[in-house]
Amino acid sequence: MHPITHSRHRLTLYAAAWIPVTGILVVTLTSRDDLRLGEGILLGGVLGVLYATIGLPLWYFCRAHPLRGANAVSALLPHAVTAVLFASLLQFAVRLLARTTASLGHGWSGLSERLAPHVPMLFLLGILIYFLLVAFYYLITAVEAGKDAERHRDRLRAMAGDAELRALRAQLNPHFLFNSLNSISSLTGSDPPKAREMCVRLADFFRKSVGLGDKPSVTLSEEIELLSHYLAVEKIRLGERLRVELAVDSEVRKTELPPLLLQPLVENAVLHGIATLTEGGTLRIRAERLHGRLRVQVDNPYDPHAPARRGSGRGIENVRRRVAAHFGTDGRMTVDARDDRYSVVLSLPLERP
Amino acid sequence: MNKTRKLRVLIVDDEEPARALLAELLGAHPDVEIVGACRDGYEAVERAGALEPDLLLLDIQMPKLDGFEVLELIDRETDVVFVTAYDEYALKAFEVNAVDYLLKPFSAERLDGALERARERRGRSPGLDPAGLAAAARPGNERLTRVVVRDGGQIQIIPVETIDFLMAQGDYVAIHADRRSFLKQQTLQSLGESLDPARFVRIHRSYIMNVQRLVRVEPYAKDSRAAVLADGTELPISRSGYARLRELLG
Repeated sequence: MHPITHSRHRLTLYAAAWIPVTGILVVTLTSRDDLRLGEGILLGGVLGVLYATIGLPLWYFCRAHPLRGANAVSALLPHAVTAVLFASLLQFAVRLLARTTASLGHGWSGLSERLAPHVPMLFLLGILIYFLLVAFYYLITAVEAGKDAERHRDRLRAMAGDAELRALRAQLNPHFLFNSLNSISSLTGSDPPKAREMCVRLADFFRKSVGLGDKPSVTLSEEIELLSHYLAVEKIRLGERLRVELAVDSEVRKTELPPLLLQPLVENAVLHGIATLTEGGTLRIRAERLHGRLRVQVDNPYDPHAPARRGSGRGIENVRRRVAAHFGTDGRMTVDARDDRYSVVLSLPLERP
Repeated sequence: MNKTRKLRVLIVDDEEPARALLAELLGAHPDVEIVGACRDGYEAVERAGALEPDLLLLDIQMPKLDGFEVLELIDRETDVVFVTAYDEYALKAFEVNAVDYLLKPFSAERLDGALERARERRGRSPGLDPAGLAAAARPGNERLTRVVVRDGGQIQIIPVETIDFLMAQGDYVAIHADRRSFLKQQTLQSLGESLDPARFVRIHRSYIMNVQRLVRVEPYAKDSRAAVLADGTELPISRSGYARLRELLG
């Protein structure tokens, strides 16, 4: 889309900008006293209109020759050639006009001869105006590119927010709640103190997860605390089947990371790992400093031949999207499923940029 | 009184508290006898065969086999009440002729109601093909990723990508996979419907073929053709089967 012709407002401004230019042309033409003011206005006015008209399609030529990626020669050469053509064409047009006016009769005679000394100046002005136009168009292009980049950034930010939202929604996995309530219902009859404990753990987990979800970032310790509430609830439900080994290096405890980033990994390890095994297994969570980065590994045994469960892989994909949204290329996530162990490793910067 | 014999119930759930809850609530019913409790799909199939319960209280998501697969593998007609936290299977569960569908957590009254329905249904044969109904019970957009069969005393799990072709054999389907053949009690039609239509095509009234195994199509007798598979097997292609095959292969 042409930046000027696509709105009437801009077209008016563009036309208005040519009035002073036309003025300069008129002044130049009449400065040597050899052209009368009327003649100057006629010739300058026609030139101004011609410049303005030919100037519009020039934008397409500029767009076809973007500055980005071009060197000085390849940027200048096409414009140098066009500038000469542009200026020649215009001075030819004005001379033709001057000759035609002679046939209008008395008073206009000899205009062509009197114009002749001005021709070199008009040619130079033509070149100058050409380059001013080109500069103007490149400036517009640069401004538009800046706006595009900003729009793109906004879209990326919106996408990150979206991934966040999806993650939080997945967080409130209703089946976790239903299954937990069913366990509580069971324990109410058989083991009331344990039922009470599970109520408290469940409340702790939801309170913590809502609290953390509201923050832009949390420390690793806070996230681990949430995990322990979650695992305490699942341990009551799964009993002996769920065994947990948790190892967190003290030097990474204060590392900041997006909230609820690890919880979906642990939930995945429980639901699609431990819960697929009749005898259960050991879920390992390790967080340490490695090569100046934070390394978190969640690994668990699983049954590769287990019947398909709903939603499998969704939690992992969510985390992957969030790592990408938060850390860009500085965050890495590797999933390794071999034999009967499933492992997810996150490698994140220790210092947030 | 028709309550001369107790209602024999088998509990199937991988979570201990869930099993304990069912056992506790069933304890209030003197006419109910709990014959066992199973922790996964294999145990369920095995013990349902050995103990011949009247009623299964069956979870859906479990280790080894899911609840629907368990039903497919039980030869005898057994009434079933699903007990699960997932409501998305509910509508379809009744298509497998389930007596009832309990959503966790459930009330004692809700379980009583389910038992009452089971008592009423007792002895009345559902008279339906369990595997076909189990296939119908899967959520519509969900394609089978594996087929479970009983091979002698053993449960075989056949990933669908290993299947070469299926052949109708009366009330059974012969599943040819990995150079072996397994019989499953299900119609070719119903098994075919739960397979991915982009991969499996019905080339004949009695055959469904995995198109990825197809090497070439040869003319056979007048007006008929044969599909040659990678291992050299030749399968007949009917005229309408050829049309479907061509449509699939574009």
